[in-house]
Amino acid sequence: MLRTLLLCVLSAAFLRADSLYLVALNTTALDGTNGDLVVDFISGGGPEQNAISIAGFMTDGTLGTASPTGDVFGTLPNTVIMVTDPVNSAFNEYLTGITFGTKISFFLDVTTNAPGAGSAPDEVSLYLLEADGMTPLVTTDDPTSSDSLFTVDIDGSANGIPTTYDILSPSGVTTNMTFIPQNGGGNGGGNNGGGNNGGSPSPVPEPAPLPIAAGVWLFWMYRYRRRKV
Amino acid sequence: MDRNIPAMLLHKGRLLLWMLPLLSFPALAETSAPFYAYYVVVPGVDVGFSGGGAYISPMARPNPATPRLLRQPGHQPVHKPDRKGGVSGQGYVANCYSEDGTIPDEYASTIAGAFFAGLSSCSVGSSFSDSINVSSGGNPAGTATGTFSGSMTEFSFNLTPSPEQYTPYGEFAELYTEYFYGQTFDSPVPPGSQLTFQYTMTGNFGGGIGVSSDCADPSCSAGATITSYPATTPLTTYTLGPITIGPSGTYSVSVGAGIAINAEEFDAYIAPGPYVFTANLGCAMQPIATPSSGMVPPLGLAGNNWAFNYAIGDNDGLEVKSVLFGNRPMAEQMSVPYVNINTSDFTGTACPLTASGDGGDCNSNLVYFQSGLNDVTAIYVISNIPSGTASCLAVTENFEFDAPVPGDACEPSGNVGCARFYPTVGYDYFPDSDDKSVTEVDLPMRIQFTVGDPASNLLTTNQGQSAAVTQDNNVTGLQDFLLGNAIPKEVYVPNVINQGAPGNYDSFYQTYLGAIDAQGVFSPAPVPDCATCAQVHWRWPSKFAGFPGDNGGEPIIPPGSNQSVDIALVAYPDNQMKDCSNLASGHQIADLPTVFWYCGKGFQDSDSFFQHGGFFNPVANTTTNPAVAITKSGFRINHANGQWVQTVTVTNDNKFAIDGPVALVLDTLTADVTLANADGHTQVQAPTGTPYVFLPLDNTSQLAPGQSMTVTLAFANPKNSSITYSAKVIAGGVL
Repeated sequence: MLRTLLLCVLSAAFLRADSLYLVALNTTALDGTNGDLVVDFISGGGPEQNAISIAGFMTDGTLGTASPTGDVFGTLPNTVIMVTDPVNSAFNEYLTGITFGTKISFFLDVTTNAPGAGSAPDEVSLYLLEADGMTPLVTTDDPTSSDSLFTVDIDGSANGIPTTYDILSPSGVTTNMTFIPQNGGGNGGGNNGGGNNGGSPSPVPEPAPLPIAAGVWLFWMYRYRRRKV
Repeated sequence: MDRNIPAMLLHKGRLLLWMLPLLSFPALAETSAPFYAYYVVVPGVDVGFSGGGAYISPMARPNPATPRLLRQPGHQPVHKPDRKGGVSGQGYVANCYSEDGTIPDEYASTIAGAFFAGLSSCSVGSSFSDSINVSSGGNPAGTATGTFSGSMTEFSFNLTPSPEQYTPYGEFAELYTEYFYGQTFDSPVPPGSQLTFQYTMTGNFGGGIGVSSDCADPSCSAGATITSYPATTPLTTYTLGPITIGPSGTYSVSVGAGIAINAEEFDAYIAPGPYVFTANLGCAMQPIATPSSGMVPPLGLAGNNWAFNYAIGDNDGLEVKSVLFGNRPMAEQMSVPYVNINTSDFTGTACPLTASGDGGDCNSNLVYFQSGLNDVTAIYVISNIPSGTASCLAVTENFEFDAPVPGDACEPSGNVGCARFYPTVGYDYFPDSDDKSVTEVDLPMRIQFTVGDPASNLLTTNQGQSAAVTQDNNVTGLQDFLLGNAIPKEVYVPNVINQGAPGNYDSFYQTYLGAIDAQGVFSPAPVPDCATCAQVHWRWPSKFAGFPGDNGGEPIIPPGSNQSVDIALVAYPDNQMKDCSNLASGHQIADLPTVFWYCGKGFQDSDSFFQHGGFFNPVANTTTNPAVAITKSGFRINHANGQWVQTVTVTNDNKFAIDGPVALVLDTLTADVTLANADGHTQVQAPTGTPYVFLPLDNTSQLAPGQSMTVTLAFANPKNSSITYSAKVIAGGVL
């Protein structure tokens, strides 16, 4: 209960600003392959906290079992919220099994709280792994050799530092990451991601993403109420 | 202070001239390092004397003759001690010197005396020269100023009290002071045998020398004193012994001088200062057996990665060989090939420094040797100068290699990683009468630098070298390589220090590169200077006043010295017995192995050379804590191995290039987190044990101004803790 309350309080701090990206993956080369889709959200040391929301998730593949670690709330294809906590939960991961189809898309909303002096920024990163949860299915030019497909470093700037890595193998897998301008702090509704995915992805019961900051708030309030009941 | 001084000693008039019972100094159990201790107390009006008043001497009197052997201070290495002890306050100062800063048990009760003011530790040093300046406070203040210095070859006391007039209070201040030295030596003869010692002393008050061994027979000890106040005892030779050596096979030498003054009741006996006393010990030092060759290993002292071999040469004194810092070689050999001795009654050219002389002119004997954890010392005594006299010349060689000190600025920018070295050599001339003196003593230091390429770890006498000498402009700080960069042919440059004044050149550089990579630009601010070099600077331009090595634009030589220095750079192999001025023959030397000669010329009875030392960059690069921007990425996971990874980008914000290699050091890394891809851990830089990685630069490449370079850090973080650390860059500093 206390933790939930804390998160509610923290969420208020996240409401200052956020950045919204549309992420689109072409996974045709992996069509039919069983693997894991992994989103990591790792604290750079704080002391500020950040939150991300994955919303509007769509794929023509089939999602499997999710294995969240840390402060991770929700389950794909519904909205998933992850929060960095340098003290209690520096490492946060949403890992879900998936049988890849040809495409995946989602909105990624990221708060923009700057790291403290000397700390690294909080970072979001995405991976496609084999079903063992360890071996990369794709090789990228990520200089750290961790084969992430993209990262967003939350350095306090308006848009963070998004980086998309070229996929070296298998050919045909691509990542596109599009920054979506918003009209004011956290109120940029109407980012309907569905139309950006192209093709005919299987519809999933997910509304267009709420303004993420408000979404985070509402989510936690929901959790708070639910637990009280 | 007043409460610490025994009332019996403060009773006015009890003591006028007072000297310690010199022969009662305890004999140490075994061969020891020298120990020195002194105090000076000027109680004065404010520290407990009835009626008060700062007063030393009631009336002006002619100054007594000052003994001429009183030496200018400074023949001791200026870089020592590395740890300063002592206590001081209003009206008093007390200090002692020992090998490790502790007070030997044998002296503990003595030092516990009230006049030592609770002194609990000593300065570190085997020799010293301290300026004394004690003031009692009050109005007027009683003061005592002077110099106490000591070495194994000489004991010197010089103190002047002031003022010398009645005070308004009609009372007088007192002066209490005592200075003593003690050391135990191995005897060159077996127990039961006898040794004879010849010392000279001079002074105008009380002092004396004692020698004793550990046996009860009267022949086991002897002493001599002078109490010639108010006159001056001329330089006088005292023969002690034969002394019978006791069962320990050792003997102890003690020297002391002390004075207590109360002018009120004994003013008829009070003379104005200076009060002086000098005991020359060098000529009495006994020959020792030639020690075996040995080595000082790396990390003998924590953080000190110098290593070298030493040996007693046949003719060239103490030889230091194969000098390395870590894996990087610096010099193949350092030694003093010969001594030229010119006194008012003797001329000796190319006198060899032999361990056991043949008894002829320039009869050289090794009388002391000690190897420490970062230095090695030898003392030779040359007698028969000329034959039939008791005059001698003591030559002290000390090769010291110091650990890098974080933050140490070896050059004005403070950005060249450096470890200092001091190949010092000095002499003390001890004539047997007052009418003899030094005309000129030449002590050449021959250094065969073999500055290594850290990438290849070369250490060979055939390794190509480049060298240059610079003239540094006092106003602009600019350097001129007037003889070329690199110097193409053998050169001899006279008087780079000229009678104590600046000469035409100020520094020497040597590198494994084809030329000196000094930028030579000091405006608007100093820039790192030849990171690859071994450097010797005997003068820094006054442009850099306040820089720790600065001496106001003057040569860095002992205070009061009027020495000159010639230098020569010649091809290897060279003729070690040639006079410095005849070494250079015009041979091409560019990119060839060379030998640097630093030829000191002294014109006083005592002097020493190379006290400025030199410095060497162990990693061959330039900058410690350069102005760089360090940008960290966020962390991500390498799922293949579970490691946390991130990139760190280093951008050179300087206006100059930073020579590689460059290390990124991670201070205060989160506990339980380790840097999995560390290239190493610091051994010198505090805090030691800190992990670091190198940027992808080698020693031949640079990070240009504005250029960025990125490294990946991989962390083992089994608890998935939040990772924090403080990043810094060390380029060329010792890690």
